[in-house]
Amino acid sequence: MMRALWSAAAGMNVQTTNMDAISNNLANLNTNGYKSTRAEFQDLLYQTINVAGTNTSSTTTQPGSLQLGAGSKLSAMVKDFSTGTTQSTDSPYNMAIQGEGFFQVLMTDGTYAYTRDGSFTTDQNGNLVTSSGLSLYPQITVPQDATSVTIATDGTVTITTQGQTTPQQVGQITIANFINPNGLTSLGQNLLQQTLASGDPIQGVPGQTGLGTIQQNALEGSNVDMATEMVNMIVGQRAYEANSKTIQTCDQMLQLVNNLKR
Amino acid sequence: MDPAYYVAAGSLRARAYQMEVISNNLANAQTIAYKPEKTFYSVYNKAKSEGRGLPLTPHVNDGTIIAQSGVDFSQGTLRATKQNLDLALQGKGFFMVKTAQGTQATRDGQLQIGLTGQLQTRDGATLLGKNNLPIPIDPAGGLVTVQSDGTVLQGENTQGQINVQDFTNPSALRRVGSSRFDISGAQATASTATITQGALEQSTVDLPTCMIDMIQMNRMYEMSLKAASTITNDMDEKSITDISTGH
Repeated sequence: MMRALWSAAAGMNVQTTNMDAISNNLANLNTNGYKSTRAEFQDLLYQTINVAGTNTSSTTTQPGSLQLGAGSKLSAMVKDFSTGTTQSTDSPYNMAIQGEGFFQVLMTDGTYAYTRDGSFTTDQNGNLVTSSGLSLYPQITVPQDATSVTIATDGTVTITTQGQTTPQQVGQITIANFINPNGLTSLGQNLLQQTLASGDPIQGVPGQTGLGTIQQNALEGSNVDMATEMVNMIVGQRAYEANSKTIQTCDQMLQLVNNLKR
Repeated sequence: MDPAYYVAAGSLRARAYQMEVISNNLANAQTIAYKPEKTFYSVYNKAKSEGRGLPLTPHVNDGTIIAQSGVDFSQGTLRATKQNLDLALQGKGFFMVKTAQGTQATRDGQLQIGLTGQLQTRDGATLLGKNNLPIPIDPAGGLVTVQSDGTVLQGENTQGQINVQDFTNPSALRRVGSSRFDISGAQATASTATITQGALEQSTVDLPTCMIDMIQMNRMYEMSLKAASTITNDMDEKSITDISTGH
């Protein structure tokens, strides 16, 4: 009897995590470069009470087994890395990656982080930085006297200056991809960090070796689909409710047993 | 002790097992490709088969009820996920994965590319292709396409074929958790199942059925308890008081 109670508790637990994932997705409906996350579940351990094929008498055997499960568990939080909707902007430093890949930014502690959020700006020295001030790596510096900045789909950054007719190349943006992007950890602020599970970053020029291309004057929005999230929320809530009914039923059964002795 | 008491006790135990099975099914209502357990009962004449001097007679059908369970392997609905490493099986069959405990079967097709560049499940078990070979994926080789027969393509290159296997006696498959089955004792056979890329098979747990089963089970449990209570509280008590007062 207690097993059923714990299975139901495990079921309610995973549904709570499910709701956490859904609410975080909905909260990031308008976050640039946000990738929707879904919680995935697996069944827990089983206890075998009867094994199929064992003898029930000298001439008969058990036709089926009896295995009692212990509920469900969270198996993974899976990110959907599909490209979000792109919206055009006026800033020349806003970029969207069409296809696979991440911008590499230099953290203050010297490590690297990866992001799909291409809302870059320039700092006081003309360096391209994220909206929170972290530098794009490899660093791109736009001279003060630049009149226009062009970022090509392959990541080359060219400028024109006052009085000059030929554009001048000032840098090359490279992007990175991972063999298992789902292994990346979220750091917040739209940043992801590499782990053992994600593998090492594979750096490359945009548009080559399976990497996406860069679109200037555009930003990648969130890929959260509100309708899907709402459906998931309803299904999750009902599953949670069903598990709570299990607990009620167990409680009733135990109460009946307690009342057996008058 | 009245033999009827054993019958009631056996029934109570069987119903308690059923409750545990239902609760596990409900807890897995959203587990990818979960197949629910179904319970069924058989009347077991203990006196006849064991003859251990139990207070039961082999002639009257006074057996206890025992519960058994089986997995309902019927097809679940597919949910489109738009992820190209999510695979769903349609028809009878299983993906084969290599784990530390040997080869196991699963219908959960959520895959990822492992550190060594092979297709694997989300918890790191290598997915097996034909001839038990892992399927290598080139990280820079572009989009992975999986055809309905399990052929894995990357661009124009064939990387391998996913081994989908069926079993002639699926009742021998033993659940080991993590949505996987132990295959020892099961007879492998060719599968006719097809693979759909970008979709996941949903759990086949049906909430209304579970609720009805739970209500019915609750009442049956109550009934068995009533039988036990009648014997212990009413009949035995009456015998005791009747005998002691000399009626």
